Amino acid sequence: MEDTIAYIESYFQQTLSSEERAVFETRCEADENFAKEVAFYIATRQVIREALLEQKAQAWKEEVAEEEDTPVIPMGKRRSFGKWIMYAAAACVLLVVSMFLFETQSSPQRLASDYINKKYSNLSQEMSADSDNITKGMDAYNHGDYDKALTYFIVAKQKDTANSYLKAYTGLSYFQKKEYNQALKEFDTLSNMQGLQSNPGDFLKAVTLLERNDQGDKDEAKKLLKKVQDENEDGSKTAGEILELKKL
Amino acid sequence: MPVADAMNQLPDNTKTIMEKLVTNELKANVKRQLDAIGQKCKELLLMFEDGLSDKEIAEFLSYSNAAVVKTTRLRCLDKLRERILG
Repeated sequence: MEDTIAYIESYFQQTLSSEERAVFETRCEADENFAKEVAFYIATRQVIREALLEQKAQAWKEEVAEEEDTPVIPMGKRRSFGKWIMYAAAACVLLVVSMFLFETQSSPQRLASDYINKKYSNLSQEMSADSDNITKGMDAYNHGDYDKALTYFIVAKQKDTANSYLKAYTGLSYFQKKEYNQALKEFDTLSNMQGLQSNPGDFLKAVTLLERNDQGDKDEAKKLLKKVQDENEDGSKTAGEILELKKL
Repeated sequence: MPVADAMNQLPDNTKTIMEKLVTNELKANVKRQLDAIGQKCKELLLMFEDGLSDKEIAEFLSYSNAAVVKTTRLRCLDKLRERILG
């Protein structure tokens, strides 16, 4: 029966051809036993997703409780050499950060992350935030609590799968957590959505690829930025600026 | 791909059939049996649902490669399936 499960999975992972997908769908309607197998697969995935969200919510609660329990050492009681070590460490961090900023001041990554920070450091109410979870997620995001934001956005996405903003917000939360693979999945789904008035999916994908900077990412980002520029998609001005940089 | 999105991949007719078959009773049964298939299986399924690829799971859980993860994951699902559908 492993083969049946593998077959069902390949349908939902979109690895079947369009003809194979049509056969799968017809079989769901004509073969009762097969339909039950598919229903089992979907039910299982739903249950596992719910368990995953519970697990994340629990981890987040524990993290908050741990932070609240951490004792605060009064400044007056700290030993003086500790203070000097702190100063020295701060100076080192400052030096490294300055060197990094100098090095990357005009890099594609720098321009890309500047764009994200300027445009998406605060999520606005562009959408009708009628869902409590979306509002709470946006609030958590705007306070820099991306784990908490993700928990809310993922729950909201379960109920509102066609919401393009939710896909963007989920991807941006992953981006801020530097979980670029997850962010790319969300932005990819977003860029494939049809009929939107504006769609920043391609641009966000390009920016994420630049930030991830794995082998081949720059080339892929370049292609996407060119597309964004040529088709005047969201982010086309910044796309043009990034494309003009010699380092890309 | 999250399964809620996956449901939307189905054409309307098939989706209607699935909505009738994916009952709360079936989900409750799956939930009960999930603990019975072992912690390792559960962990693997949770990681996959979290969007990790088989390759990434192999790295995290020290499996030799992605193919081993995929086979193990499908066996875990099959174990669960045996308990639910018989």
